[in-house]
Amino acid sequence: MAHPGTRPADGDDVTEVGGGGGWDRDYFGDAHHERAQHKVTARELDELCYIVGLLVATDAWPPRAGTDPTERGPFGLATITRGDLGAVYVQRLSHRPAGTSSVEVFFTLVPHRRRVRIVNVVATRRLSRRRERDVLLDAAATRAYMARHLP
Amino acid sequence: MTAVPIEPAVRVFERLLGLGRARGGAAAAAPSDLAAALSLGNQVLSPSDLAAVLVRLSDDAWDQLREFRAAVARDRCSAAEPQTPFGRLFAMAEPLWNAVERFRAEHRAAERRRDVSVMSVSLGAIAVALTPPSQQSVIDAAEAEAGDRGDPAMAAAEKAVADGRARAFLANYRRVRAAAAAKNPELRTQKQLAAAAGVSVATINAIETGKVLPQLGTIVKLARALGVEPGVLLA
Repeated sequence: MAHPGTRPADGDDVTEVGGGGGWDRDYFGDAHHERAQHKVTARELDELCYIVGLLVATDAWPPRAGTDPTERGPFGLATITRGDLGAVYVQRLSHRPAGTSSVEVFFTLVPHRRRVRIVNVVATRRLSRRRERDVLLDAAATRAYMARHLP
Repeated sequence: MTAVPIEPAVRVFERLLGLGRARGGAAAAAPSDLAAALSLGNQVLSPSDLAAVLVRLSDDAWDQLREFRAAVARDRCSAAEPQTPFGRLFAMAEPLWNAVERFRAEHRAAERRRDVSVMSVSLGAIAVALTPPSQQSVIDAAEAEAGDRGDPAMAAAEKAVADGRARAFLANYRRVRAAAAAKNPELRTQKQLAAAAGVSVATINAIETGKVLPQLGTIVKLARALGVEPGVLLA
């Protein structure tokens, strides 16, 4: 079976509805190592980019805001605000293949380049402890703050 | 860049901060003097080294550093080279500085309870904040993911994700499709759904028989026709 974003079911439905296409991704700092470590696949991230593009194109961005990633909106997305650093967005990837674990993909947007800029990929289980969660969210927000000011 | 012995650097840093205060703050000891002293010959503190120094400073020295930073901002005196980690201490915007203060406090608290994980995260975050923008890296997906093709584990993960998505989609689709057809008689046949969604009957047929998993654009069309959020079909 083909996968979303990889092959059309047939020739007539390739057109993306309501935008969403054309968003790409890049990685801030060592986030690409974290992606590889957690075996987050290109397909999972293709979907993330598509969903972000779709929500932006339909004026449904940003996702639901909260101070904690347990407060999530559609597609497992959430907006996290920490202190005065501004927002960092996060998507939880769960129901993942055997040998991998649920992860949180933290990212920011570079809208003028239609970029999802991934700043951290963290195992979800690390958010279960309050102290570690707080510092992880602060760290992700700090990275997002730095990352969104880069070209 | 050669690693700097952290403890001597901490002592030098504390001594210089004390000197700066004794001489009246920024006017007496410019940040560039501190940086020069700390460079220890040709060695320059990396962001990680400087982060390690900062978390080890005594609370008194930290207070002095905070005052020093405020004095630099108030007097607009020439700060250290902003393209160095040390210079970033003085050039970074207030939200980042506030974050550095929080991370330092987190690190010290974590050190007391020997929480290595929190120590590592907070130290890494301070290092990121201290890294000059010109030295920050952004890597395109094509480059970062190029290794996936030759990695059997990643290929297996890709396949597993695709298969899992396909199974989940089909189960969700069938549930939503049945509910929509029961509620709306005009969505009962494949032809009716195809018309409502703006796709071909062949596409609907291929989806419903599990031959294909549609593209995300098609999933969005189907979701709209079936009256649900796309996320319901993808969950």
